[in-house]
Amino acid sequence: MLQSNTFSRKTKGGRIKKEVREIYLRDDIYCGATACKTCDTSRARLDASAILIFDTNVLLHQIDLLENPAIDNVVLLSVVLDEVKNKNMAVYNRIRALSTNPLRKFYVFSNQFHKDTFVKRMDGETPNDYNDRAIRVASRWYQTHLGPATPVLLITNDRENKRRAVEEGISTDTIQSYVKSLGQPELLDLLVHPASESEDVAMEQVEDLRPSKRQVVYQEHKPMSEITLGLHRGIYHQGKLRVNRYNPFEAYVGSESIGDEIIIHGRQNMNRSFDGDIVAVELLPQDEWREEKNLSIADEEDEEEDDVHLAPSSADDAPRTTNLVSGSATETNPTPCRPSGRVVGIIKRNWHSYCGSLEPMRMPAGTGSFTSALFVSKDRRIPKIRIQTRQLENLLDKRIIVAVDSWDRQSRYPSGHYVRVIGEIGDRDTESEVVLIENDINSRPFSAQVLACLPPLPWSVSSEDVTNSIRLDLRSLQVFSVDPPGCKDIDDALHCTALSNGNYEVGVRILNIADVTNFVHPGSPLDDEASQRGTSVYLVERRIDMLPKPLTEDICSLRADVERLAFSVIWEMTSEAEIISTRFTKSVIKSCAALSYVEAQARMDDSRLMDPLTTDLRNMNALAKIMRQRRIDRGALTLASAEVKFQIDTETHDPLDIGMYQIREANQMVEEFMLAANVSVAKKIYDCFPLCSLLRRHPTPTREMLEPLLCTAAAVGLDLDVSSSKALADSLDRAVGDDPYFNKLIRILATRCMTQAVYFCSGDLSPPEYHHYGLAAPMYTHFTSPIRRYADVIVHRLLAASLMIEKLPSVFQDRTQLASIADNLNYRHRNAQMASRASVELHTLIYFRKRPTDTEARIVKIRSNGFIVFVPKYGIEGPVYLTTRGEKGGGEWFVDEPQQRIVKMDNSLIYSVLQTVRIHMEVVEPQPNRPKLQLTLI
Amino acid sequence: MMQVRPNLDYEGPKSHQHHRAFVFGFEYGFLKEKLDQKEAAKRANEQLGFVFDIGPNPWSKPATSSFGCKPSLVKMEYVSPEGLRLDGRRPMEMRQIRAEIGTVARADGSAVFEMGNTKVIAAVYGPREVQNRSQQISDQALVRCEYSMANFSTGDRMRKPKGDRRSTEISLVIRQTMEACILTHLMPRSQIDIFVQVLQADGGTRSACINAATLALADAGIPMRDIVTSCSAGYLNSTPLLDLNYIEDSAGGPDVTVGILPKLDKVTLLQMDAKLPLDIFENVMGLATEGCKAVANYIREVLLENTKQLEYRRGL
Repeated sequence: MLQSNTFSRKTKGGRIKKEVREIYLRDDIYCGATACKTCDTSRARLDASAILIFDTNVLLHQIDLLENPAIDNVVLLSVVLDEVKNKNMAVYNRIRALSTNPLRKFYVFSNQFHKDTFVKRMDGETPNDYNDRAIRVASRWYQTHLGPATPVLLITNDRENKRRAVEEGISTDTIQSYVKSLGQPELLDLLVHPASESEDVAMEQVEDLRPSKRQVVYQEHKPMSEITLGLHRGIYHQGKLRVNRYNPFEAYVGSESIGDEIIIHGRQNMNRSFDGDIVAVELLPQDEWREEKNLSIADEEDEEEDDVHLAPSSADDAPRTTNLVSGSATETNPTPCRPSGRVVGIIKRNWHSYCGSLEPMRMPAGTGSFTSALFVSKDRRIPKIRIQTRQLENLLDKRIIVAVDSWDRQSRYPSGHYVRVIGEIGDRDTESEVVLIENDINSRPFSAQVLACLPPLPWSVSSEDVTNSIRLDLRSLQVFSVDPPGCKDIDDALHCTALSNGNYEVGVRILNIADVTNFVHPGSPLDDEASQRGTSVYLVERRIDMLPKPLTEDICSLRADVERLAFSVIWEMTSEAEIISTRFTKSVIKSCAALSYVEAQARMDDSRLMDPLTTDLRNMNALAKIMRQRRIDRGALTLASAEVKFQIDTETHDPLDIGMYQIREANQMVEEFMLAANVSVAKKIYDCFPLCSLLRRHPTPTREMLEPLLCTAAAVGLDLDVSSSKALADSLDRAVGDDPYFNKLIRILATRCMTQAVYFCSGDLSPPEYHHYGLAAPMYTHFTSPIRRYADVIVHRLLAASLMIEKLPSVFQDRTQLASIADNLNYRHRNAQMASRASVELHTLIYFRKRPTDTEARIVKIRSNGFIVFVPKYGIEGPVYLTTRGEKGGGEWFVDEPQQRIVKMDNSLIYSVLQTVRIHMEVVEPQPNRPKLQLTLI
Repeated sequence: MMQVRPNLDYEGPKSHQHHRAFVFGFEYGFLKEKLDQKEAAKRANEQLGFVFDIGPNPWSKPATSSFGCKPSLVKMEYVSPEGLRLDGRRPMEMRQIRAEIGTVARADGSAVFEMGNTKVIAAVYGPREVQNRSQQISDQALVRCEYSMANFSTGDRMRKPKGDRRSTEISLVIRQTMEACILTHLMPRSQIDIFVQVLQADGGTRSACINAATLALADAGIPMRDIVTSCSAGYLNSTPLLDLNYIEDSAGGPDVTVGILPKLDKVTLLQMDAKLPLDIFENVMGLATEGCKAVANYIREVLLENTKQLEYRRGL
């Protein structure tokens, strides 16, 4: 073990400070080649073919290429990895994933600590030169170490580095010529062209298309030093840019410095920023703060238009609308508009790869040559991306993935490169795959390491489990489960026995939840995978599990007539549903019946049935009703959403029928007990671990968020009190219109104004913020579905620890980590919902493709050239145009804002909000391969 | 000839990590401070019975956060996936150690001890007459210790205030540790002075001081039960690390300093200013104890070598 010192100078708070750090040079760092005679080959991965060494810039730019299996046998130098890590964490993580993937031959060589490849920094040497020198020294070491039998190729695009390497006798190549030499043309598409070179090519193409456009399109980004200074002085504001999902030309930057959102209009002002980028924004002068023109459905600047969508179920899904109170254009507007701004610089990019297809274009004459094409992302928030490809004819009718590389001032669109093909456009499997990729859902099969964590199959409850003192034997009790028909992942079962003690008639209610944590141990690969997936995803035709199938459908599923391990919540309740005592325990149960909601309802309704199971069901239902009423009295909201249900053809998997999802008393009964269990568990874990519990909160909606609801309500003469959830619930109850659907419609509109509930770590917020608005509960968590939600797994562990059954895993002591887990869960949860909705939308489209339909719809929003209707039967929402496109603002219609209605000039026709209209639904294909649903008025 | 002039110096406080509330991305609200943080933390500690907390130590610096983890948003890699630390060591490896006896001629016993870039000099005077009569103990010797840091020991050369909290604490720790091994009852009504000064600081100064003091006491010929050796260990990136250097020390993770009597196999010093689950704590402490034993072997060699030199000089 040799020792050597390095000296480096470091500025800290403006001062120059000398730092001395030791470096211990080692002789136990091995080359990683399996054929090597001198090194320890136990962890070697490289085979005898040519070894590649990449420099930092190649690694940073060509990561998509590296992920292709054609590139293999790579040595990653630690000096390169460190630089990559400093420059781009996302790329670093991807490279690390490659180096741990057992199928790929990527070996990390810690060249800085190896006694022969360590280089000392020379005076006046820039970090770049130093790194290049270190790379060359390491390459040469590999060459001499492995001998002439194994060629070593240094791949660098840096001219100076290449020249010096050649002088030193190292064989080098640029990435471009190396890929060409491989003879696989599809790899060339993956190649990112360095900015300096590609610019000329790209510009030529632009000139071909639009001769007059060769000019600076965007303003220059300010240098980082100026941005930092500007942020410091308060001239610029920093925040995350979020593009309006429904209007890609409008974006919001949440700024802490001014405590409000800054609106950014148009691509010019957005200045090449993408959704999710951290940007610096400069406020525009106040007289340029534009009023939002969201009264028109279609955009002025673009040919795109609103599509028919699934009706949003909460404020997070709905298009952002504001200023509905503002008057018509002639009136002076007293309400101040919100600040508008302009992006002056991008602090952190959020570029990743996007799903979509190429814009249809004529086939060029020659094939196989480079052609540039425009890529249109499925996500409307992303601008079109210019890519270059040699396989245009293959890609035109495919869904492809494209990554963004750069966006310079002269080009209107960013340039990117092709990554891979998903499948044909319009194919159901392809489109489902797109839905999954768009929502960042991992649908790959579970890895071998994960599957190795499963208990041996077939599994059954062992005698140790039964005799274990922590487990209560409840097998003799009559436990049953109630779930949707065909449900295989049964994670809750109920139980109800009448007791008689003393003078009271006391009921014991037992709730049993599958004991998933018995199989998913903290820190195991299975646990890591589940925590990454976060939740199971339910698409119309398939389910993407959080846990492997044997656990989901068998070992943890509380199926009928088999013994299963459970985690039980046992309440002793009076017949008035007052909870006398609560007890939590692990248990062994044997379910006697797995009922569906329909069956359970039928049993309760059939007065002839008097068997014990039915009696239990009826008792429980009676209690649930009391509990429900009490909850509503406390101010819980009964909200509604337009959930639809598909009937799927078992052979073709095509949808056969769509219908509203019907909610029965049995659903409400199960729901009530689950809510009660979650509340009890939340209290228990919070009492024991006030700093590290995982809870779920639902923020109180602000008045601004409820504005659209109030506006609509005012237009139909309804007075809603939104001062508290109780007041809102009461006024929603009073909202009874002339038709039976009116109340539900108002509830649906109310639901839409709410944000979604989120998971959080109790130590991060103060107790008043734990409040769950929708349920009117001071504290809430998720406990009841550990098979399909990871949050419940965490809560199970907390509960077990609070009962002193198990030790609390170390994750809970790291609040940062816990908070990041909660963040990930929220993200996954939301993505899962988005994916389900997208899947429903996709199937709706497939359904209506063959079945043009006439149906009833309700107007929910008024626009200047039409209105947005909601179709209750199918749960979808979309625009209906009164004027044909192109002649907008023809003056034939005008909008009566306070009354929320649109009136024809001669007063012959009036459409007002919530009015029922009949519409025709049909799938049209305005462009090939891009079908969409069109709604027209009959 | 070099003379050690003890002065109470001050090593600039490590950048103090205040508790920061985690911001959940913009969507979930602004930064919130939890008001009753302290109260809740107290309650949590009472509940989390397994968290190891070494008694109320009035000298210890406040724990960096509720669980001794620095609330940083970017996870720093202190151990690379290849298993190498920032300075090229593996997690279980110590820095290079070096010791020299008899560096201060005027003192009765003296030594320099180095652990990597940490360099400490110790000088022992005594046993001698008690200077301040009122402190005299009738049945045992009075042990005094003074710890200081040279102005030039850290990167920034600054005058540091005297007698601050940190150096007073370390002086006390060293005194108590050394007192445990000196056979004080053999030297009643006398005084032993131990001066330690950090010449160069790079983490682990406490341990280096104890090791240097042991050598200096041995050099002074003061009767001891056994030598005391000390070493620290920490826990970063879920890995126990032996002998933290300055960068690892300032990561804000737990830092366990252990001092042992290697022959008697007894612990005389155990310090930790953070919290760790008991099983992990046992691992980390075990690692630090191994480190102490390695130091003890080296110190014994150095003493033996020194004795041989003395023998040779006396012509025995």
